Amino acid sequence: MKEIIRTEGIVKRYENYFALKDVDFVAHEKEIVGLVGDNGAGKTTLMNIMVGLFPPDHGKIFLEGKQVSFSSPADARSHGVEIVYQFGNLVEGLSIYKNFFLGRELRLPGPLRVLDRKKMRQVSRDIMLEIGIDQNPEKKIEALSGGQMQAVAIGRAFHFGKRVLLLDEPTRNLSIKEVDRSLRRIEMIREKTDMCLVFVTHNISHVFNIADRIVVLDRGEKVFDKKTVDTTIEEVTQLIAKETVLARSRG
Amino acid sequence: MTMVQVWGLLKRTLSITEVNRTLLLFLITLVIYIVNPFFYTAANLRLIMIWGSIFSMMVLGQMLYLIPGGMDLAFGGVICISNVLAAILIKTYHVNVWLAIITVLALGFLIGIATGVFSNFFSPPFRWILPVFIFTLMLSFVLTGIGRIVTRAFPVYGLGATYSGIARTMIGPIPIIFAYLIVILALYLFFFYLHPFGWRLYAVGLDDVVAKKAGVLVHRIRLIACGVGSLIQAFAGILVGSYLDVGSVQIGPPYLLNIIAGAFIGGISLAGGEGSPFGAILGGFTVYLIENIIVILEISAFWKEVVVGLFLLFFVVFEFYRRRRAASVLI
Repeated sequence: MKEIIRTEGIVKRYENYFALKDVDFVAHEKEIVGLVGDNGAGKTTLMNIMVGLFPPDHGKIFLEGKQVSFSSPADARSHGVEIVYQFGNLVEGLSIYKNFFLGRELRLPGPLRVLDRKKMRQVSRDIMLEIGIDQNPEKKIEALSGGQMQAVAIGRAFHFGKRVLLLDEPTRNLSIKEVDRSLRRIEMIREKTDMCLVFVTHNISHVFNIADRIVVLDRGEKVFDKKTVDTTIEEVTQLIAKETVLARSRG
Repeated sequence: MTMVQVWGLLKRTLSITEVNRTLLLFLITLVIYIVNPFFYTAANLRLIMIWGSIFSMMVLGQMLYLIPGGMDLAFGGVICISNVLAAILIKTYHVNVWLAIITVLALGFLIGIATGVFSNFFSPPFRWILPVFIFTLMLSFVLTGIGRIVTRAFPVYGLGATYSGIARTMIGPIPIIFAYLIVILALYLFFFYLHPFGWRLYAVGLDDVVAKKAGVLVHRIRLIACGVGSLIQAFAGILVGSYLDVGSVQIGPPYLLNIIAGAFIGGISLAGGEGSPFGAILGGFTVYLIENIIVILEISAFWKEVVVGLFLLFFVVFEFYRRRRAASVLI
């Protein structure tokens, strides 16, 4: 399997504690990696570093073997790294297709390079159908449900992403039916592209069924990294929830 | 088409802000015409075209600050300093008229860029509107003050035929100022509807954080909007000075509230992310029409403020009911 993204010895310090302590992380082509851990484990920090929101204090990032350092999310995006946040992916008040192409508009050839609205509507509609939502691309974002909004954001990342797709808590705040749809969508993206998918969550049961590998962070350190077939959901759950389990057995 | 379909189409067309307000305005002018037939004479229509166009340009400039979520309080100062500077350069320093105009336009653009740089620098931690508000408030005082210092508050007259020709030339029955407005409107329409700039500008006004995540260069968009907005105000300042053949500190600051009222009447949201160039022109013409109607009806000029205020109240209530109905349809 071809290696897509690798981090080496990532350290990120906030004023008086380590958000990340010497984290090595790797994801391969067509691989779904579940990045799990309790709140404050450093999952989001690691993801934000990989997408260029802020730089690490120490450590290196390699993209297909070449060292990179992203100056901004736009820079990471131009290297084929896409991210879907839990909230705030889409501008409310703009229509679906405008959100889809915002910042990367398609333009007609010619001296004026006029916007190609027809093609943008068509492409956004096709992508949405491909990932399983049927919506009029002229519809305003605020008319969609939470699950539909997320589908639009995932569709956008699917269309533009080339190498890495980071998903921040993609199943949180969704109804049970929508969680199922969301997971199937992620598997579909794996089938159709060569991207590696990093699935950040604290809900192990959602990620366990579709991930190829589980990485567990605990207070900024990587404590576990195994193929899903070599482990069980109980093992991982106990690792994450060890304190609560201990507390319960004591109490 | 059946009657129901026609009625539905009519209702949808009427619900467009710009359409229903234009109709409303037209209705008002008809009433005025019945009261005093002088309203629809060539002389008065020409006046409406000239001043309506100038006011529209000011609202168009203001709109570039309003859509990304700011507000320009300095445009009165920019208009003041630009007509005074043009007059002084031409009269006192005998600079070539065109060179003087280019200098003034460049100054206007730089004032806008300065506003953009200052407000971007302080934008987080503060919301963008706060530094814009403060900086443009400061500018409106400082620029008007400089105008007063330089001219000692005396108007500068006699600027020559070339300068006054800029605004006073007629193309057949159409004043050239109206032609300028059409050119500016065409540019606006291109950049708002056929170019990515428009999408990005609205996105910045609606939600700058998300726009940034989506890869929009928020700071650059705001900088361009501010620069061009003030550039248009400087141009409007030159036009007023040229039309009246004067350079005076009296021109500019008094327009402030009229233009903000015009923006509101034209459907440009003061919260950002909403409004269209057509709306801006509608607002500009409305604000001038109010003044015009007062003259036509021979009402004392002191009533002007009262009428503008009542008009604004009327539109606020109108807008409130329209939005509430729209919201109830959604829910």
